[in-house]
Amino acid sequence: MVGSTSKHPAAPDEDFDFSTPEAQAAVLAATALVLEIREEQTGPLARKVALYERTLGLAVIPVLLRRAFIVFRRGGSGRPRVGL
Amino acid sequence: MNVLHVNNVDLPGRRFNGYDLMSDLRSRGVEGRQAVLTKHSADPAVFSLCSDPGDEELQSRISAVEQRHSINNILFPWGRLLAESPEFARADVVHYHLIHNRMVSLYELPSLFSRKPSVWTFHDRWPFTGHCIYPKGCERWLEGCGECPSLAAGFPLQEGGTDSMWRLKKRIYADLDVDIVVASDFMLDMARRSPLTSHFEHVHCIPFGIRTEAFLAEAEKAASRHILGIPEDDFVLLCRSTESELKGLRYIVDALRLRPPRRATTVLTVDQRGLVRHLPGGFRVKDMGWIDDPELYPRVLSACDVLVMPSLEEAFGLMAVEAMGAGRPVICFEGTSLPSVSHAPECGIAVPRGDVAALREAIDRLSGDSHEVAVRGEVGRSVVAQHYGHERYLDEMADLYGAMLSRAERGPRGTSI
Repeated sequence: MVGSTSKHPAAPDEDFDFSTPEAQAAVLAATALVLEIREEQTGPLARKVALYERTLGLAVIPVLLRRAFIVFRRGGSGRPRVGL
Repeated sequence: MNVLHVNNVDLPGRRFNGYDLMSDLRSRGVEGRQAVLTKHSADPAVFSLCSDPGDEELQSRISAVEQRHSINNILFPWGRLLAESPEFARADVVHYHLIHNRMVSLYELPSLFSRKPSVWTFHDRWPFTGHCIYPKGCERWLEGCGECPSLAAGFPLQEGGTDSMWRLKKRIYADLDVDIVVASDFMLDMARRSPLTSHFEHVHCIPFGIRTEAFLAEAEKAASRHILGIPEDDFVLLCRSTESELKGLRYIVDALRLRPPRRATTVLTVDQRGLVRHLPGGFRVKDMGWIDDPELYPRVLSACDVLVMPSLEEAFGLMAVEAMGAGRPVICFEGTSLPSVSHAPECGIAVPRGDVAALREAIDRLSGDSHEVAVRGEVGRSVVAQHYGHERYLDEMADLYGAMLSRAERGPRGTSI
């Protein structure tokens, strides 16, 4: 799962260059995950917000993007639930 | 024909953002819907992409993440939802308006634009820059941004973010198949000069239109002044009174403070009250506040002799066009859309940007020459009738949609025609 268990926010990933095609592919994959969580209708609102927190929390986004980026570069092997 | 308009809101800014266009084009057989993030109207033709419980929280968190990473309009998922909507599927043409207000990810543009004939109206200068909406004289947008002098403006970024965003736009725009609409020659010139947009083949200058029926005849001037409590023989200078630096009120105040007027003068303001003060003797100030009453605004225009509009940034300049429609000349600064929109030097008078003495000289000149005021006013009415009519605007937009549709039917998207 993409969530981080760290209690300490990570520093911004200053090396992550959003202008590249690889970043674009990673973010579009992350967008799919965001929408998947958004469609989660079974839990109460608090659970939904908690999922947002885990997905989009400041500490998590570099991890999420880096993970998606790595999977992208592997050419889709180790396919996670975001459907890269 | 079905046109889907995309903008972050429906009613605020409705004259520009597609809402009125959608409604008014029905008379020409163009059916419309509008996709927004925040819906203010009860109009069933408008639907929100961001109305589920928790969406506000999601939006807020994405905004925070973008700010943290010094990016803007990259992570938002609403463009993806737009593409999945039945309204998008039904649309013959999709018209994008203010999509950079945390709505559509830049990354989604190639996919969105390739799926439907698409037109994007550039309402401000964000499409040309690394992040700012108004460069305020900075020309780094011509060479890649970076070393940004106003990182906190618009969508705040950290150092290094503007050149990265500029490169991102250049890469994304390179393969876009889209028609671009701008409302002024000034913006058209920027679109042609920008390294990001100069390659676009289909760029159209279609000025917004105004309804001129509400404007009052010249003979109503005395009655308008009586109604508003303004002395009939005063020279009346209209201006927008706002703390927004971009509208340039401080230049008007500084110009008026230079010396007393040669003729009794009323400074008639709209918007915020109490900002024009400490003027020399001979000036009166009449604050109207913000005007929502559609019958009052024509009275205000009718009561004035001249509009002074020294904006530092304007992509169009609706207030100037409205003043011209009412037969009033406009005094403005060079370096924005206003000199061309006001057809300076025939109707408008453009003085060097920031030149308070020149601004005052132009005011004094018109104050002392009612014949020149009248001649310029007539030119303004004529220009508005010829170039800025509402029906003309609707005709040109309907024609554009039709041409785009024909082009799409002749060849697949991306095919050079």
